[in-house]
Amino acid sequence: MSLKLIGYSRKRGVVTHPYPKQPIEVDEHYRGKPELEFEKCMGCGACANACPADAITIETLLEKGVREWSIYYGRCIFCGRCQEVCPLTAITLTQEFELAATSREDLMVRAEFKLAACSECGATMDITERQIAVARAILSCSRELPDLEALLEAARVCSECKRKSTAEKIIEATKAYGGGV
Amino acid sequence: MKILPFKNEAEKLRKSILEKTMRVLGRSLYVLRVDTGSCNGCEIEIFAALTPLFDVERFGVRIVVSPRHADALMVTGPVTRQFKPVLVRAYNMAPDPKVVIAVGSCGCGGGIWYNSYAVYGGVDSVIPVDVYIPGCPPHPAALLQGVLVALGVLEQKIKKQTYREKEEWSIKHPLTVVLSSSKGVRVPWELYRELDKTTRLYLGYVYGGQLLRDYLEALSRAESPEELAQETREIVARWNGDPRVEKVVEKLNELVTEYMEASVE
Repeated sequence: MSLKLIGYSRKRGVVTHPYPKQPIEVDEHYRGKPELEFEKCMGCGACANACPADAITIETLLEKGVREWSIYYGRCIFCGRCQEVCPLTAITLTQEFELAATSREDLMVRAEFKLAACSECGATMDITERQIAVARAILSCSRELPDLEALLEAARVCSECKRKSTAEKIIEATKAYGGGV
Repeated sequence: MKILPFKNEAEKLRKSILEKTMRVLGRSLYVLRVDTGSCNGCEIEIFAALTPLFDVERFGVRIVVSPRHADALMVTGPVTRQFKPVLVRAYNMAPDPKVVIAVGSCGCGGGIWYNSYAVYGGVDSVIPVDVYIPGCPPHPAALLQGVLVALGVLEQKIKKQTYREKEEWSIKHPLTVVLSSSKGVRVPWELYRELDKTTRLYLGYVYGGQLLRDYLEALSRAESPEELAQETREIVARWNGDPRVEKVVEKLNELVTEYMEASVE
């Protein structure tokens, strides 16, 4: 019986993959380590919003003037939702799967984005400089808008200043019609 | 006893202990698999790693059934309240020196259950962990690599990273790729949004994204509707004449002509 098996196994040959010596090939659409391309990212936090495991988190620190983005691969479930929602295709799931680490810190990736300052009052806003750049790019390649320059300027103004200027405009308008405040 | 004031020093000490442990354990690691409320996905991959295809046993790794025989604990699952005392008992029963390997998202950080009332959220909140193997579930080869990292045969590949903004930033996006092409064709945001929506709706974000990239390039090259039709036929040919892709491309062409007509008016 066993002799029979020897003959059979010799005919089949070795099936074991020589893995650590040779890299292993995974499927084309294998969902491995999600990798952030920092140069593409604007720090909007759509990925953190979509992440079901909260592996991706963002925190806006107004005092420090930065938005901190971080991913902890230990908690990631490799679902690809972050890739799906990313408006700038900045995060993609790679084929990388060899993620073993001896410490928790090694599984962290962090990124810092500068928060924008209001062009009128200079206060720190809760959106990043890059987000404003994207908003302006979208505005300037939209179909003809009536007052593009004003809109581009308004992208840099904080909500407090916008509210003030709107109120001032209303006051002026009421004055023109003979009303008082 | 030495007091450790710095985190780095503690980390160094921990690493040296791990190295010494591995010298003692040598080339035969007896592993006890502990399931602390896992979904069995990780178990399936562990058993796949034991099959002839991956064959962990060629590195002297064996699965044992009693913690008293174990050199290493391979812990899967987010550590449920029910299982914590059992895990601690197994950890205490295993003879020193021992290694703890946390497997899967749940073992490494609680996975999607990390903030549930019913779990402790990760093995390291209960017992000290030496090696983390993330994955949901990890690839059998990733398990193999994790065990070899624990044994000190392989180096770990992943490193901590921190990005900071340095210079002026400009938007890098398929939209701007089209904008900066030599022909200078502008794809307005409204049209881009519609194209993106349509491809995602019919093909999903992976294949849809690929098709959209192809289509935008074709759109930037084409100068007339006839040329665009020619380019899109080439795209469909590149997708092996898939009838679904053909339909989606037709839809995209319709959107573009509609948009052009609207902007002429």
